[in-house]
Order: sequence, then structure tokens, then C-alpha cells
Amino acid sequence: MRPLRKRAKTEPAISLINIVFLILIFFMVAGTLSQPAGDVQFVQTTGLECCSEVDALAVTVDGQLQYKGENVSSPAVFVDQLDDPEAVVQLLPDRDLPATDLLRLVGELRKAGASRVVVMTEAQVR
Amino acid sequence: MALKRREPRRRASITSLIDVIFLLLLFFMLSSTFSRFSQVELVSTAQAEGGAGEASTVQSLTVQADGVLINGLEQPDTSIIATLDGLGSDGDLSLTVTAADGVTTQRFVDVLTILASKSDLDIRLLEPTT
Repeated sequence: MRPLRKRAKTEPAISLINIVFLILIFFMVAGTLSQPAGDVQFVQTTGLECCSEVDALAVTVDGQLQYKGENVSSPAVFVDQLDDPEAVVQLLPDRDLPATDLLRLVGELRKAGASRVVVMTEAQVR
Repeated sequence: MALKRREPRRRASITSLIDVIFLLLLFFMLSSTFSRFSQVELVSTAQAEGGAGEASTVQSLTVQADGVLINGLEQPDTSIIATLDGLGSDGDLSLTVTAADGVTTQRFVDVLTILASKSDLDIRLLEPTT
């Protein structure tokens, strides 16, 4: 009979850890940390320039404004709390928001002093 | 002097390491998002005062639920660019865009995206005054 092999005992969990590390690294690299966007179904676009940072004022279907998960009472309140009044105001409207409401909101933001207003849309990757 | 003999070090338990890694993994899985965002700039007619002296031809476009009205004439989406090409040339075309009732933001942005593909176009949004 052969003598039992004397191998250094390796922890059986090491291969498991390797896999988990790989998944971990994947999520760290591929994902970006999500910001609470409120209950908004994003507007979809294709073919526009991709990948802007999002720090947006969300607008729900019924016109409620939300910033970082909290309700904002009016456009003027939002513009007032901006540090830099010249900053770009990002809007993240729900795709089913009536466009006339969006235009009215943009008008109110301008009246409140916002100089540049952009609409954020989710870029479809083809 | 009696030197204390060091005990041989025990290897750190691997279980706690796995626990931490699992926690990290869980955090990144739950908090990451894979949405990529584009932006569409909205320029309004109120900002157009600087360019008032330009001899540009101003056209109007109203977005409807199906198709658009260009200067009051109904057009399907596919012929927007062709119609605008026929209206003005070489960057002196200014377009006032507004939305009809019942148009969703998705639809409105779709039309803006079509318009954005015509590069020499000056797009202004007409906001309803309240």
C-alpha cells in the first residue's frame, strides 16, 4: 500500500474566494454607484453622445420634483439652493410626463435664474 | 535574560475574510447601476435676444403625438429633415419648437434627437407663459 500523500492542507474555500473576488471586481469596475432617481421611467434615446455624470432634478409623471430622493416644492426653491447659479440644471423627466409640463417647468427654472437647462436621457446601447 | 519564546503564529482564519468579501460584493451588487445617460440641451426663445440682429429665417415646429407641424403643415417624422432642408440653407435657419397637448416627454425628446442630427440648426423652445 502506498503511504498517504503528505500535502500541505489547502483551505477548500480558496477557490470560492477567487470567484467571489472576480465578481466583486466586475461590479466595482463595470457599475457606477446609483443615485436615488425617484419613481422615474427614464426617457430613452439612441445615438446621442453618451455617458454624462448625473446629478439631476427628477420629475415624476405627475410633475412632482425630486432631488436626491427628496421632494422639492418648486423650481425656484431648487435654483436657490444651488451653490453656483450659473451651473447647468439637469432635469430627469419621466418619459410619460406631458411635454407641455416639461416646457412650463423649464420656463419656471429660467425665471428663477437657471441659465442652462439640459434633459437627461438614458442612452440605449446598441 | 530569559527571552520569551514566541509562539508560532496561527494563520488568520479565512472565514472572516470571506465574510468581508461577501459584504463588499453585496454592497456593490445592490448599489451599482448600469444606466448610461445622455443629455439634450434645451435653449429657449427667451435666450435668443443676443441673436436678434441676425437675418435668420424663423420657422416653427410643433410636436404632435404622431408627426409634427412645420409652419402649420403636417409632416411625418421621416420627412422632418427633408422639409427643413427645403426651408432654409447653410445655418441661417432658426427653429421655434413647441409641443402640442398630449405629447409625452419621450416623444418630444425623440423629435429633438431627430432635429439634433441636422447640425446647422438653431433650435429654440417656446415655453408656455403662465
